[in-house]
Amino acid sequence: MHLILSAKSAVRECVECHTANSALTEKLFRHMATEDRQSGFLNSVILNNYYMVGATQNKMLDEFMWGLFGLSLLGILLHGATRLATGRKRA
Amino acid sequence: MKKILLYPTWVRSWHWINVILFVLLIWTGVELHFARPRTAGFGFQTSRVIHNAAGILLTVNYLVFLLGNLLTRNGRYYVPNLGDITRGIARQLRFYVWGIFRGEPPPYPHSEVRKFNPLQKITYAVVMYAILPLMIVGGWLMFFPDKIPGEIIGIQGRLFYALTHTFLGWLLGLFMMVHIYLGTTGNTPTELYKGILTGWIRAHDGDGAK
Repeated sequence: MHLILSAKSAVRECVECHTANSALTEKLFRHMATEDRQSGFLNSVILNNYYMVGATQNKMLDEFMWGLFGLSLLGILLHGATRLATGRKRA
Repeated sequence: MKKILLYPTWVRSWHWINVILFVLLIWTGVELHFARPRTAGFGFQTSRVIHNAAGILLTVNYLVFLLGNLLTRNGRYYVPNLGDITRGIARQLRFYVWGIFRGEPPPYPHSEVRKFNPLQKITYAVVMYAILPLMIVGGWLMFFPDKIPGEIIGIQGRLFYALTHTFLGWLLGLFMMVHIYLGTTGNTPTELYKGILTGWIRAHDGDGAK
C-alpha cells in the first residue's frame, strides 16, 4: 500500500491514464471484477467518481455518431454523384 | 442580374477565423477524446494547449458575431419567416432532393434582403444561438471543474458537461461536413465559395422568390 515508486518508474505519459484502456482501472480499481469495469461506459469505475478526458468514452454515443457521420458522408457522395450525372445529361 | 456585397469584411473575417478554429478544435477534440499512446497528431499535451487556446479565441470570435449582429443588419438574415417556415423548409428540401438534379433555379435566391434560405436560417440559428453558446459555456466550466455542481439531473456534474460537450462537438463536426458540401450547390460549384472569399455574389432584385 505504501510502496512509493522510484522516479524512473513514474508515469510521464498523459495517455497512460487518459485513454480507453486506462492504467487507472488496473491500479486503483483492480479489486473489482472485470465486467464491472467494462460494461457500458469505458472505464465505468472511474466514471462513478470522476470524469477523465480520454478515459471516459461512451461507446454507444461514439459508435452511433460514427455511424451518423458515415451515413452523412455516403449521402453527400451519392448526392454529388447524382448531380454530376444529371448535369452531364442536361449539357 | 447584379452583384451585391452580401458578405462584408467583418463577416468574412469572422467566418474564416471560425473555419481555422473549428478545424483546430475538432482535430484536437478528437485527439483528446480518443487519446491513445503513440498515435500521429499533436499528442495529448499539445492538443490540450491548442484546444484551450482555440476555445478562448472562439469565445472572442463569438462575441464579435453577437456584437456585429446587434450593430449591423446581419442579425436580421437569421430571423425565420415564421408564418411560412414549414413551407419554406419543405421547398428548400424538395430543391435539394429533386429540383437541383433537373437544373431548376434555387427557390430562395440571394438578394439584398435574403442571405439564407429557410433551411439555412433555422440551421444557422440553432448552431449559432443554441449549440455554440452551450459548447462555449460548457468548455469554460471545464476550466473550473471545482465550480461544477457535484450532480446534475442525477449524473455526476463534470460527466454531464463533458458528455454534452462531446455530443455537441460531434454535431458541429457533422454540421461542418454538410456545410462544406452544400457550399458547392450554387449556380456553379464554386460560386458560393467565391462569394464568401470576395464578399460579392450574384443577386436578384427585390425579394427574388417565386
